Amino acid sequence: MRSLLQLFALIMGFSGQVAQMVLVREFLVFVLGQEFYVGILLSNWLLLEAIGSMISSKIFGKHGDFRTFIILHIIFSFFLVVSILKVRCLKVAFGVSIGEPLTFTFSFFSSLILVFFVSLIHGMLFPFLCKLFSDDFAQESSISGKIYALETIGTVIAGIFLSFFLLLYLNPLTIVLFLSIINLLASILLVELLRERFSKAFKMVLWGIFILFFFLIAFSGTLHRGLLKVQWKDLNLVHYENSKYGNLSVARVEDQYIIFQNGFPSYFLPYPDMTEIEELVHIPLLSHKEPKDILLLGFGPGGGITEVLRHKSVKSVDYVELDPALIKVFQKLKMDMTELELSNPKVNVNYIDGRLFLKETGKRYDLILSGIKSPSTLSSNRFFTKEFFEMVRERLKPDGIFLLGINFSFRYSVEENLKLIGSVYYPIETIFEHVRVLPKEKVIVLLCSRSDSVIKLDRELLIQRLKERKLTEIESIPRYVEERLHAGWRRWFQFFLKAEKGQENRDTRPIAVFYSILLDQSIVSPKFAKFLKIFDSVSFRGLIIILIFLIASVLLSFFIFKKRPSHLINIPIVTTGFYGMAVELLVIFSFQSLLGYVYHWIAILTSIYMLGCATGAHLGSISSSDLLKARKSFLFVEILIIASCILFPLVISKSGGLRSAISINLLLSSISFFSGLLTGYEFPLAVRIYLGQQREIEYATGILYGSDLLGGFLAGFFTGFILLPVFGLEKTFLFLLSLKLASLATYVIQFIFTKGTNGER
Amino acid sequence: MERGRRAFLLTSAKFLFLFASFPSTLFASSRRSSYSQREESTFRPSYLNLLAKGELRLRGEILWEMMGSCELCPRMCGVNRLKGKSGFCKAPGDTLYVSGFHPHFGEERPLVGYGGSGTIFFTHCNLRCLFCQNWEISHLGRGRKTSIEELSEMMLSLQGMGCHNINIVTPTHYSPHLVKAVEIAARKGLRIPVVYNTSGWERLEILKILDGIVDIYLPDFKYWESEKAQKYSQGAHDYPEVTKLAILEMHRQVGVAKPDRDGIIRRGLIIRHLVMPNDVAGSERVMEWIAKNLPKDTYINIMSQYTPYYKAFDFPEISRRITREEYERVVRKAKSLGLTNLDIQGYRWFM
Repeated sequence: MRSLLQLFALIMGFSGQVAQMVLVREFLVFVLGQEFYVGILLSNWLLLEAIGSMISSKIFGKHGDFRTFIILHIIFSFFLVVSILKVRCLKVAFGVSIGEPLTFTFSFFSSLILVFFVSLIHGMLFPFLCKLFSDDFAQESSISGKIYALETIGTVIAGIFLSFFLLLYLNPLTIVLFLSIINLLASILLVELLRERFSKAFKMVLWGIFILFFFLIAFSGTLHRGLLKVQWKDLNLVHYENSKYGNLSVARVEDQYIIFQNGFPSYFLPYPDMTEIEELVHIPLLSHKEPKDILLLGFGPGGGITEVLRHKSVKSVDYVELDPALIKVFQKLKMDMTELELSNPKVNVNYIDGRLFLKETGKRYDLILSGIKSPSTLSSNRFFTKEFFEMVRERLKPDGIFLLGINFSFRYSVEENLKLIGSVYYPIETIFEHVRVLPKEKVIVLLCSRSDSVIKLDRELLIQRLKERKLTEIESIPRYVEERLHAGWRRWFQFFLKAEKGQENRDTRPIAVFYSILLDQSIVSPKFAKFLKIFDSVSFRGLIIILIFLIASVLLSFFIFKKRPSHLINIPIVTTGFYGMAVELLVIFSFQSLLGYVYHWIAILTSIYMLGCATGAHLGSISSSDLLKARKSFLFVEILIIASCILFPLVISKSGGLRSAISINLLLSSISFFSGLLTGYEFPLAVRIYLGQQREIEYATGILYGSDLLGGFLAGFFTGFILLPVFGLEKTFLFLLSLKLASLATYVIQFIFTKGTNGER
Repeated sequence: MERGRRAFLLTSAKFLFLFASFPSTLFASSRRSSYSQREESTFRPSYLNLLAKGELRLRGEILWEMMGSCELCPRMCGVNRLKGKSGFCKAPGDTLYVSGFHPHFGEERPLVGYGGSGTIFFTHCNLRCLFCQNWEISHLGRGRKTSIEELSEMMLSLQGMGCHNINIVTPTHYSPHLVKAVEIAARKGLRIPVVYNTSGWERLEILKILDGIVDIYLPDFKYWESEKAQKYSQGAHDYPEVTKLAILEMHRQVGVAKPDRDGIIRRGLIIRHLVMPNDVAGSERVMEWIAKNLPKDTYINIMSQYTPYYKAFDFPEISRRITREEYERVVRKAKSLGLTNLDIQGYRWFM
């Protein structure tokens, strides 16, 4: 019985993580790859889990039984499957088209509809399980800590299992059906073990549902394809795949293929936007006297490489692509153009993160062309920072040229547009002596070099070089090329930008992420953009004052409403939940900046953090046997967290100077582990302090689990999209420090009030 | 140079205050800056004649009154925009919204010249095509509230920057605002032609009011078949018939677009035609009609850049780019019909 309940804790962690990751992947396609909205979905998930946990404490705290527990599992399994139906049908139901950009309101409510029951019920399970455990093993202390640890281990297993196996080999519908079957199987085991507590009818129904799900799994492939048809409407989908890095779907329209990356149309084959590719390739190549060695970052197949190879002086083309699955798709489609491109002996394909490649290569290039156009995520923003441009400059030969394109709305000239372009342009201007600007409707291209060749290129020189290279006999270049070279653009750009000296986009302060989101939102949801804009104008000092005011108000309300002082422990738990999630995000972000995006390592870092949590929760359970000891330990952990907010940024900044990747890995993994350890450690201690000498464990765990998740929810939203981009890495840690100092103050107050008591005033 | 720019920025401050959200409004007071290198031309825009006669103001008033039961476009919704009501175009009553304005160097070569085409982008649209590439402006109406006076200031600042014309994009549902602003700007010294950059779907009655105000008409001819217009432009089944009449009227007013000695076009008709996949636009028949009904040297820009945007993926027949053959076929047809003034973008650089 005990083992079975422990198994439930593991399954609970496993189910939560698998469900979350599957739905995140599905939702990413739904929102056309905009990670900002995925952040919203995750925040909603955590918030609903927190609410579920609190509701569960209130409703099932006293009257929860095994029967209800199993019913909750059935509902969870049912809604998990339904959520896949929802994500595939929602757009059709609301008349939203496949490629249509979504508003904030629609995305927000869609994410809510999608995860509502799944996360709410999942949140209910934790305190419920604690209650069932305490009913049967009442003599044991610190049950919640143990369950917390087991649940976390379940999460770790899910993370690894899903990333390296499930997502790659099974379709999402089959995965959730499997997950439902695991949950139902555990429920059946429980029912069989406690046979006397369940009616025959109940058992029959449970078995019936189990068989139904089993039956469904046999048809999951057909169902999955049917749902895809609904989701992709009239488009003929010829390929659908979840790679490690995202979803790849290919639609065939007559003789053309459209490759959708996370729902967004990225490639049109075999008729790509040749006018764009030609401009992105030929203008920089013709700017150079004799281009020999070319580096293409995340751009090339489907026309780009073909155009590069037309220049006979080119000796080598290094093409860097993060996702090997994309190349496999190109090969599967057997398009002549891409076949020839990738099999050409001059072309070397490297499956690696672009920054990592630049860091490791010793080669110098005549041309580096970047195909990454939007700095809207922390990951893609790494290709738009001052540090990246410095790296590029080092890898270029003295007369080498770097090409960068940025998504840009020519017709929609608002402040956000200017700030975004400015934040990328200013650092470029300080690194490259000469920058040529070639704006167009949807993209602005910057040609950067130490040599003035980029500036000198005009219509006449272009035609001369075309003839020298025997590329054409034409006497005049097409209009769309000529218009790009118009001298007026330079003047236009100077005036466009000089309006305001914006902030520089840096590795440690990725402000372009914030401006990208602000610009997107100003188009689809102006009201939400107005809210976000507040953070652009508020100073860091102002932010801290708001924070202190908030904590003081919460503190005051406790005394006004005469809550038990021991309940004040909620505040440090919320802030620790915030701290844990924020540090983990900052570590992953730092890893990507220092070492590049390495899928396995990111997954491992998250697992290390979760392991830290589980270890911490286990150790905390041991320390929470005695109330006074728990109180002292809690104070000690709080002080350690505060110290870590000073230590961690120092370690991260020092690790930037390290040459060895292993040392950086070790340092960042240690930070992950220790932040997890401290976060996990506090939880069982807090439960103990909250309870005093009482035994209403399920109530306390529900409230505190909810608080922990609430902190995570706030951090998930604010850290990645606001704190880090707007204020930078160091100030984000400074914010965490202030947050924890303020919450420590509340702890000290409750410590004084409850000292020597049992938690009662 | 640096000092000059500083001074420029200082003089811009006042205007910047007015248009805080438009970076491009920095150009506002550049009519006093050294930026302008506009060549002197003997050209006299036609609206000056109407201004002298006092008729320009009257025309503006007539159009403005029409918003009382809006019949500015062929939809003829009849809503009272003067009382803040919105019709099919979704324009918020009689309030003008502008999404951006600046010199544009990517329009047709004779409109761009050295100083660029002074483009002002109006928000909202009466046609609302489902594949629109500027859906954020035309469908969502993102832009900034702009008064008539501010619009006239924009025109003057674009002239100050050396632009060769004032290129109003999607003006149909805001034609009263356009005429009123031209009247104010003309009094203050506007001397460059107005380009009426439209979908082509215009009522004859309105075009007649614009006669003598607009010097360059830049209409699209989007569809040959009314079923296609009905399907992709939200029920605009009469698009082909209305547009044909509109283009003929435009030609009657301004004639063939011919460049001056400096290569700049200051008066005339320029037709744009976007080639679409699966001949959705009926391109060859559009060329035939032009060849039959207008002079052979009518300026025609055959555009190749169609890309599925916005809701286009809901319709498989327009869910792809056009092929080289599709584009070439239209160009060949136009040439075979004897059309001589073709602006061919070229599907490929190395054709």
